[in-house]
Amino acid sequence: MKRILLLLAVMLIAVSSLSAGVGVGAFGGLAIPLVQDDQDNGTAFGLKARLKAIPLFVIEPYLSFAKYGDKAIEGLVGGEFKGSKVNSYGVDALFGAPMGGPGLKPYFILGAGFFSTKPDETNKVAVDETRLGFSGGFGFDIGFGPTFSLDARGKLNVIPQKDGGSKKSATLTAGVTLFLGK
Amino acid sequence: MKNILKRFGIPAVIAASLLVMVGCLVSGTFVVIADIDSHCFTSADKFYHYHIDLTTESEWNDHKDKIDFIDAVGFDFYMTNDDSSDVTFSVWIEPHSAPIRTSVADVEANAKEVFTGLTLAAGAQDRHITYGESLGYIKNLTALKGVVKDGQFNYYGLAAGTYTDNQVCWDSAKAVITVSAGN
Repeated sequence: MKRILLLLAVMLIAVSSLSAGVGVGAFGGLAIPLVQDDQDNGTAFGLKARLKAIPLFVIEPYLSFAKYGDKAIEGLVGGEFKGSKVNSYGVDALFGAPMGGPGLKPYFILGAGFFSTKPDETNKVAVDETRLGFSGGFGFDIGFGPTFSLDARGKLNVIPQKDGGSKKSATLTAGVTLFLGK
Repeated sequence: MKNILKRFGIPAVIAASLLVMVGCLVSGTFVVIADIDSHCFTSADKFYHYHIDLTTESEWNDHKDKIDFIDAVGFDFYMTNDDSSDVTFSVWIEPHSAPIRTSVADVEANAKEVFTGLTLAAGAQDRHITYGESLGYIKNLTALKGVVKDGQFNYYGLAAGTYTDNQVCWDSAKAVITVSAGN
């Protein structure tokens, strides 16, 4: 929680100090657990900022809140695995992403963040910990003028686990970004 | 060359990174379900032994050499108490290599209690303990995961209380094990 508050503070500072050229936005969509037989598809939503780094790319700090769906246990009447909550915060680098402006602009995504996986409160035996994870993917912006854009993207998230192996998921989201200082 | 790198370098790095991440997909979380024989308790023994052997399950065998850790362990079963007094049910486990225990005292002295506190009311018929409900009764989770990871272990069900033979029964029991492993 402290780290999330810290990141929020950092994002606010960045927005206030770099208002000459920042974007702020929100996103939402699907959270898809990959090779996790005990989880089903769920939802994800979050907040993001977009900051210009160097000419080739922009950076995008984000806060994301995902909840997987419950998964029925095959062969058991009424048996199900409860969907976990996966909250994360981190920074993505967007290669080729715009800072506003009209038109369709595709980009690549690479990022890292902290992923906190919490089982449903009725499931007291599953893992509950925060781990550093990595993301990659593709997306595109559709700009409507200099200050407003819609985007869609797909990201693959890999969270290495303490005892080996990793938890994987994908997110398919759509978002909106408002560019300030234009 | 610089132009080529400039034009294709970053996408190539991204693509390579994604390939590495996709390569990691061979590991994942898998579910193994093992049946446990039904049983009716006698007033003399008040306990029940079953050898759980996950190595006969294809899902376990597919991943047994690449298990990273046991995610979770739970149970799903039905219980009946046809007697007039409440019965308390618990589960104890020991590694496969341990000798088979011959009495409740022997179990309690040597095995590890991993499921505790379930009271079965007098007259209860086919009380269904779901996987989710069973998680609330689990204790000594670390020990439970350690024993389960061996793939075989001794399971003891104990029914404490006052009852006559064959009045307290459990059936359709399954152990549900979630495993993180390579493919």
